[in-house]
Amino acid sequence: MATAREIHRHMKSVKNIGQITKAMKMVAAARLRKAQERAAASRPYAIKIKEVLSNIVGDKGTLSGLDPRKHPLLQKRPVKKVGFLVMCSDKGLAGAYGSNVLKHAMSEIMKVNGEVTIITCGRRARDFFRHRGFNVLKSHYGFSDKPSYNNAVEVAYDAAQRFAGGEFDELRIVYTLFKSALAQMPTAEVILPLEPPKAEAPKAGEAQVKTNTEYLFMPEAEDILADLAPRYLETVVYAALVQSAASELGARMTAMSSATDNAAKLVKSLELNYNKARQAQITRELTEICGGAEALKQN
Amino acid sequence: MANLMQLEIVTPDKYFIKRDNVVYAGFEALDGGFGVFANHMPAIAALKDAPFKYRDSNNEEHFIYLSGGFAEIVKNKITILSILAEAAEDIDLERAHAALERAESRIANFTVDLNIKRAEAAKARALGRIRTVELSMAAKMR
Repeated sequence: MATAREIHRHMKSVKNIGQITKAMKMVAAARLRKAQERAAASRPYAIKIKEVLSNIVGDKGTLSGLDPRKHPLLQKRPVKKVGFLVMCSDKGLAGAYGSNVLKHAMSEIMKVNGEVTIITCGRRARDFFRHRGFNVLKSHYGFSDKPSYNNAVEVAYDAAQRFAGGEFDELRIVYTLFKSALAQMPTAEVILPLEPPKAEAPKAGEAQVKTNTEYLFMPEAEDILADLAPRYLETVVYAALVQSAASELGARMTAMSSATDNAAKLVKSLELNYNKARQAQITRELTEICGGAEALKQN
Repeated sequence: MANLMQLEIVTPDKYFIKRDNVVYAGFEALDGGFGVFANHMPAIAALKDAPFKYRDSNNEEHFIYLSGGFAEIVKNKITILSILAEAAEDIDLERAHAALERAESRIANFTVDLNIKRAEAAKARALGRIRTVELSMAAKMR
């Protein structure tokens, strides 16, 4: 059995680690709240832009007269090369968050028969795919837990360029959908070529108004679409980034919370062992003294 | 009153403004400027990096800088989607001038590794901001 002093040292280190994980948990909780606020704040814009896009596409005669060469992001090609945009964290200590999304990405990649190229967001994703010898076209990092809209613009622009340049014929995004701090779901979706949202199924009463609206386009619908398509892609990427960030922070919070609990439990059991060891030492010393006294008496 | 319009400006990070007493709105679309009064026909426009103006029922004119974006006009409701919106009062004129100078010098000293598109976009943004402030000042002088 370890000596009392050794146990004491162990206890101290466990306590320290517990304090650190507790601090990390609180930081993650505060940031999670911010991330959730940001996700909520970005929703109206995303919904609106989707609406405008479906209004343009839904307009009579727009789609039929569409020149696909003018809209590289809408262009459908036979899928030979598949691109994956994988979003993960920059740092670890977030429980199974990273490995869950990367595992999901791997299983999606395995389903593809054809060439696979990868764009990553977050250092963890980059390292993961580099080590496995994948073709990583580009890695974005440094903003996994606090994405700004400009980050999304950068990622979307890069992806759009590569798509238009034929580096892949389809782009799928793999990110983590935030359900709650305890539940996150890795998700994969095709984001390029852009699938214009279908005009929503008309609700009762609203139906007449929607179908009768005919828009005046300034400039031509085609030109607006050329401008709108990349913007729409940005919002899709931004939404995914924000979801991933919230998931990362949620996962980190839960992981750190259970680490803190675990540290407290460990300290408790160490304390018990420490007291036992201390008691054993006292008993031993006492018997040694008594034994010594007895021996002296006999002389 | 029947000839008022609603106005919403939405950016990715927030609801920028929401008004329901707009009399007139002036846009600069990619193919030229246009103005909107109440009962305008439904329209969708792609906007330039430029000032946007609206006049409310108190006859006050407001100028807002928009970094591109889209405007949808349906049933007396104007919705503007823009990545960035700044009210004239919030624009830092000095910074805009500095940005303009920087962008211009970058374009003038063209080198191969220069991202010319980015420099030109920066120039357009700075010009848009400056014009917004100037227009707003001019409107106040009147």
